[in-house]
Amino acid sequence: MSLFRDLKRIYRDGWKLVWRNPFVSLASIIIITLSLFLISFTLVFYGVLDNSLAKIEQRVDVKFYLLPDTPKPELEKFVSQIKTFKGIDKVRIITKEEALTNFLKRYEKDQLIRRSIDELGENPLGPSVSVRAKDPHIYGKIVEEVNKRIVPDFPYLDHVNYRDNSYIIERLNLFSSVARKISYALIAFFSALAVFIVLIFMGLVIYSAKTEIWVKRLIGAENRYISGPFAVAGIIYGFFSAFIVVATVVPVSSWVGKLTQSFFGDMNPAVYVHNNLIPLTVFTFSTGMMLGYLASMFVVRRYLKK
Amino acid sequence: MIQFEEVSKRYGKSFYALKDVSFHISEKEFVLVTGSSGSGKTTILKLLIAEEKPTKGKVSFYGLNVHNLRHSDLPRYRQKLGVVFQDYRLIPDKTVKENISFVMEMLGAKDSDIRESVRNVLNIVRLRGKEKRYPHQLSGGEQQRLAIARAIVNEPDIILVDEPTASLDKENSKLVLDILKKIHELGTTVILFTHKQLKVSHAHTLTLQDGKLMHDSYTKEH
Ligand SMILES: Nc1ncnc2c1ncn2[C@@H]1O[C@H](COP(=O)(O)OP(=O)(O)OP(=O)(O)O)[C@@H](O)[C@H]1O
Ligand SMILES: [Mg+2]
Repeated sequence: MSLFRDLKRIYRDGWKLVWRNPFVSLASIIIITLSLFLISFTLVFYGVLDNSLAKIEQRVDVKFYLLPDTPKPELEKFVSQIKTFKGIDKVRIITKEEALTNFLKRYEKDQLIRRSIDELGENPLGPSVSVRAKDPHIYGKIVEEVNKRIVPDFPYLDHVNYRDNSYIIERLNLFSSVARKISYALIAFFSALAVFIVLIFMGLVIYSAKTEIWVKRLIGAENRYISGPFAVAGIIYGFFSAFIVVATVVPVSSWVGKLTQSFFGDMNPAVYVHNNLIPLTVFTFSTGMMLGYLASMFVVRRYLKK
Repeated sequence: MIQFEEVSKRYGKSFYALKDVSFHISEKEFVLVTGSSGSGKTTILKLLIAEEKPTKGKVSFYGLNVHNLRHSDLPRYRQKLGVVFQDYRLIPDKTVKENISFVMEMLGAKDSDIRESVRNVLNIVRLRGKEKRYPHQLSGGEQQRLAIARAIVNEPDIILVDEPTASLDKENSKLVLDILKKIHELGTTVILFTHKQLKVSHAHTLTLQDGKLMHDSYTKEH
């Protein structure tokens, strides 16, 4: 019962700290808001980058082109063997007929090619098998495995497009690991910067409450009574800041996102925000409140030690 | 109750704010510690509330060495003392009422008890009707009385008041002094630190000069 009473008083005093020092509170909220913007922006940047990379990675595959006279059962055996490999995401068969349709579609306007296909009277193309790995790093290994374990008993393999793709795949692997590292560094840097700014600022805020802390200590108050209201005030600052950030970023970016979707496509940060509304909101609120709480606790602790 | 035994306090390398000061204060006394500015009055106060440590000697409260108290026992000791500082140290963003009530809240008192005690002390220091004001909306004398109210609300064994009348006019000085006498009559030990000559009959007077105790009205040795 008495714990509840204490908490109630601490909570009430926290609000009083906020309301009775309007300029300090406003300034704190602005500072935390700016810090949250920094953190949120780096996070969105990372999210967009990661999403786009994942999409690009998904488009990469390795194709095994088979001879036109590959019997159907052999084709199916080939596919099921590949499916047993580790790290395979999807295996898709492009039949002779599909290949021809695609081919004709691509050369729709080229009369010469169309005519020569017509003259042949039969489908000169073979089926192919497109393999997509969960991790783009392992394409080389998949091709190697196929050559080692399947090709000796399988005379129908014409060629693999890995060589054509390998350059792109290597480039992509390199780019995404560098890009991810950069965005981790950015997140770490901006978070640290935000925490630093908030810390310095809260130091000033609590410095103005020095008398209060001093008197409370003198009359023998327990630490929770001394730091409790500051913790509450910090959380309140964080809450309002998060509210401002969410209330501006989310609707604005959703709106901008819809307007610019056709221009940016998958890389559109606004669309990313729109699609990740709930996690971003939760993240912003918890980060804001955490930031306010930790900053005020960290600063009050300095006064409690003395 | 309080015992100073050859207490010295040195600041820096060689400056002694107090030098070999010894005295004894009993329960329910009304004590005046007097001396000109810089004579060491506030230093005695700071040693008593264990805000400063003596360079030499012993300060004890009911036989207990105040400066050997563990950090965790310090709050309980300080709760027995009500202190009014030279600069009052009121909390600027708390109202008159809150400046008093938070002291009891810190000790986990019930709301109904707090209301009653606050009303009582406001009556004693004659600040009824100004509960909702903030310290900056009070006169100097009222601030002084508010600081006194805060010091006595937890019913401490002793109340220590640093320069109770320094910045007050005659009328307010008399009012504050009357209030302190009243508190004394209610059974609290009162110690005043002042550079003025105050008229208090039957007071125990300690006179300081340059950190030395020149006169103690209860021991005629000096
Ligand atoms: N923290 C400190 N560091 C150095 N010297 C100090 C410190 N505190 C006090 N002193 C010195 O010790 C002496 C006694 O100080 P104290 O505050 O006890 O005087 P006081 O009798 O209360 O004077 P006043 O009537 O002006 O309040 C003074 O000369 C002061 O300058
Ligand atoms: Mg003094």
